[in-house]
Amino acid sequence: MDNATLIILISLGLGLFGGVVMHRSDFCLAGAIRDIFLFRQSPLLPSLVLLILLNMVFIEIARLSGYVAYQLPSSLYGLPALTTLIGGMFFGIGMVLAGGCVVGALYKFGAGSLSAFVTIVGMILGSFVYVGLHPYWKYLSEKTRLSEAATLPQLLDMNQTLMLLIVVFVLFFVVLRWHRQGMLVRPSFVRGYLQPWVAGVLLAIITVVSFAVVGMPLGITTSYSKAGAFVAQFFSPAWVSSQEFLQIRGFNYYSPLADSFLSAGPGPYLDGLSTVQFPLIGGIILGAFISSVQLKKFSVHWQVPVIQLVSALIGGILLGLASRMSPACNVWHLLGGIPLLSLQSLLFFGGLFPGAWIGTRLLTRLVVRA
Amino acid sequence: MSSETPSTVHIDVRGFVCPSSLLVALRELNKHRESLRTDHFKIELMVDNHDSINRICDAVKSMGYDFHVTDTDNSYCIAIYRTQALKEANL
Repeated sequence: MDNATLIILISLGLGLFGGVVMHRSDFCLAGAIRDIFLFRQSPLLPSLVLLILLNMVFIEIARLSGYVAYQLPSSLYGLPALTTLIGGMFFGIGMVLAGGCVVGALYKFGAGSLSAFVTIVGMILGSFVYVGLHPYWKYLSEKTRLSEAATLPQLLDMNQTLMLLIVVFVLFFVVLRWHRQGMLVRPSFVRGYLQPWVAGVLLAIITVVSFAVVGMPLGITTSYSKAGAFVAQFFSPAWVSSQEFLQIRGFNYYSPLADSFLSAGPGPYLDGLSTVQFPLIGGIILGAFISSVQLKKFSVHWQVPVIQLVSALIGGILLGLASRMSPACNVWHLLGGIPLLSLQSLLFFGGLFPGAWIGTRLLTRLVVRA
Repeated sequence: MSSETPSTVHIDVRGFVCPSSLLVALRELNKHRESLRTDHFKIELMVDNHDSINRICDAVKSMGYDFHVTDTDNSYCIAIYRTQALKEANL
């Protein structure tokens, strides 16, 4: 079996497993943050924090054992700029309007959600909108660069492991407190429900396996750009070749399976990213589909209020656009970047909160009145 | 509004964008709270979203109502009522 086939199969397997886990637990990363503003209490937040905490521990152990190698800044996580904060804010608005994030839409679509399909179409459109914006955004990003340090330990000139230990120590007591208050375990009234904290543990394992075996944390949104670029290539190859964003192949990462550096970009060609991300996307959709069929809960409901579909579309466009502005999605930043204490990811995370607040205001005023 | 046959309001939030299903359910509960407390009255919600089902049931419980979840073909039906109100209505 050649390396590319192995990468495809492993990514597909991780996606399948992730799709089943997310569908069973309804593990909505967007909801975990949105509900802080919408309901003033977020039942999924403790499980999300547990997931980030475990990722910090697992990835650092894997790095110290030599299973994961990275040196920041790199293509994985670059230097911090204000544009990432703005991107995070747009992402926050988008995820509330869409009712899920870039990966939530996939598992919901796999279980038959029409609005999730509309969101996915929106994300491809949003990635497309960014193509025209790219030269200006790149300029702005360079002009608003905040530091030459890529991580918090680099900025404070501290040892990475020591700083992680401090953060893990604090988060551990936060999670322990939630556990004692009974907030980690959710009441369940549905068959086959997987507790979100269990899902958090399993998703942390999937992330570290992805990092160690594939060479990078979980990510999917560049493939939305790619999907759009393939469509554009079919209709207007001349336009595609004239767009700077679709020509760059600036993403480089070390693939342990290929034992070499792979380069990739958002253009209409198959490369080191599409080998990983397309199977991962397909796997998540398929995993959720299998899970919902197995529970006899796969169903498509067409009677969705139009305003909600419009909201899903606009949310999707914002998610696709913001993922390129940031220049990655929430899964990439929250599950991969924050555990590495990447400043870029911390900025994105900081932007998510005001974004989710604005999104909540828009949702409860324009889409559905509470 | 006491009568022999239970007065039932049917609400279908299947396929709704998250968290609209939850918001609509909570809104309807609030709208019918007087009927739920005093009359022979029941709300039947059709829901397909796992998280919403758990959270609606959780909210209903904390509001002091009774509920019953039925696993239907491809979704769930949550019946919300108040046992005390039904007893007072001689049912």
